[in-house]
Amino acid sequence: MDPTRTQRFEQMFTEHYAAVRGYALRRTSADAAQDTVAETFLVAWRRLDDVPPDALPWLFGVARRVLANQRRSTARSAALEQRLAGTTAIGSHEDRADEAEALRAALGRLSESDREALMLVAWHGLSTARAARAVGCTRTAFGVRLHRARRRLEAQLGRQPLPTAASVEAS
Amino acid sequence: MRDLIERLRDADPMPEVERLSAEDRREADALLHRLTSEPVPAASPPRRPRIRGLALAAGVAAVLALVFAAVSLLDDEPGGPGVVERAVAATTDKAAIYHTVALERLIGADVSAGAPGREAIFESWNAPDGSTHQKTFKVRDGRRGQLLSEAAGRLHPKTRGRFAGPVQIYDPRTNRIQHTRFGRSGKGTSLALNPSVDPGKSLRALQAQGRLRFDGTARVGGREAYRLVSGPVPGFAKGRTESYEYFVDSQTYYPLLIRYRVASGSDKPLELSIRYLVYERLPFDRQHSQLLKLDRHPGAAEYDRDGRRLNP
Repeated sequence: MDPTRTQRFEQMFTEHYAAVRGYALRRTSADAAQDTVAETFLVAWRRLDDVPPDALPWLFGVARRVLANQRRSTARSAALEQRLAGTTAIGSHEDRADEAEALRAALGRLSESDREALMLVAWHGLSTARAARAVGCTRTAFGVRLHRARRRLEAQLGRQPLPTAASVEAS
Repeated sequence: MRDLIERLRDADPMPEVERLSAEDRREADALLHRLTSEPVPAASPPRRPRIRGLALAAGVAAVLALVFAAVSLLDDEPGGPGVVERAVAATTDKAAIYHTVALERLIGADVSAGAPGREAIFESWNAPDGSTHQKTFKVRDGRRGQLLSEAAGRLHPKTRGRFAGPVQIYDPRTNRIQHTRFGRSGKGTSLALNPSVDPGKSLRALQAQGRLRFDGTARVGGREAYRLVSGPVPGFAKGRTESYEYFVDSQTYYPLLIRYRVASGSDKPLELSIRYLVYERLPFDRQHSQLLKLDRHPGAAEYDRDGRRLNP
């Protein structure tokens, strides 16, 4: 076994395992997330020479395609909507919890492309340049996509009343 | 008022998910061990461009159009496409070259798996004498990017279902030019446009025949367009059905957008969307006739259809 190759992979794995796992867990069930992480790093191991120095956007791109393949063969896509709409609100204040719930519900109603753009920036903390690499488009194109996604999220928020405390408790 | 992204960040249902517990770390270690025990591929096979599926589809679309041209001219069925084609060909300006640049997108079970947005730019020059020159490019910022393939030749029908005429195909990856001939195809009733004749006249003729019907107006690329649709029609291959949706410029009747769907048995339907960025008539003069030839590719190795090298 090529020690340099293994070391390179181990370094990348150690650095990004948690982020890739987080990416998968935010989009699918725990079981499916485990499969997604394993498959993503398997692709990386086999194609290590193709992995760019800034590996995380590349890994997110692979994970996104792995998830898309999973969705085609199973009904796991529902997991994200459930995750977005049905999670317990987090926040120290009730109004913050209400807003978080409304935001997740609105996010769940967006197209996959819009949702991905917003999640990469807001939840995974990627810059627009790195997020563009993750989705495989130019920085400018991603900027436009993100801008439109924000507008559509705002529109969704404007359309939907904030959930009541009762609905939050019920979820 | 806080920024939307900031508010969204606070709405993350799993803000701590990147923090690994001891059990998570054990899982990670086990996975790492499993992966690094996997044998490494000895040598990666040369990677084919991701666009291969669409390049193929663009080729298929072009071939469909060319096949239609050839078959139509041979078709003696009364009222069939051959009649339309002959009528249009008879009135088409012989001194014209039709130049198109189209953004093609392919959606379907065969090639779209895991890669949404398979697309390519397809450019062609076609003359009523059957001369054709076609190029397929990667898409970069909505424009022509890297050249993927190029072909130039002259197509004319010889016997029923068989084409004649030479074609040269250039592969930029290998810098090789293959000299070959057009292939053969079965008879069909496709409503694909013949790119060698006036598209406006073809579409009006098909509409007059009732094979396309007017179905409202729309705006495509800021221009008023008529929507012309076909019902499902038998496809080129046995057991396949096709349907066409044309959006044509309300002034010129030149296509602005075509949506072509083909279904085969239980397979997921394949959809090809062709958005014309350019569809224009050029004069068939000495200068423009150069556009019908393969571009110059210095240093390209040329081979005949039997694989024999033609140039030193």
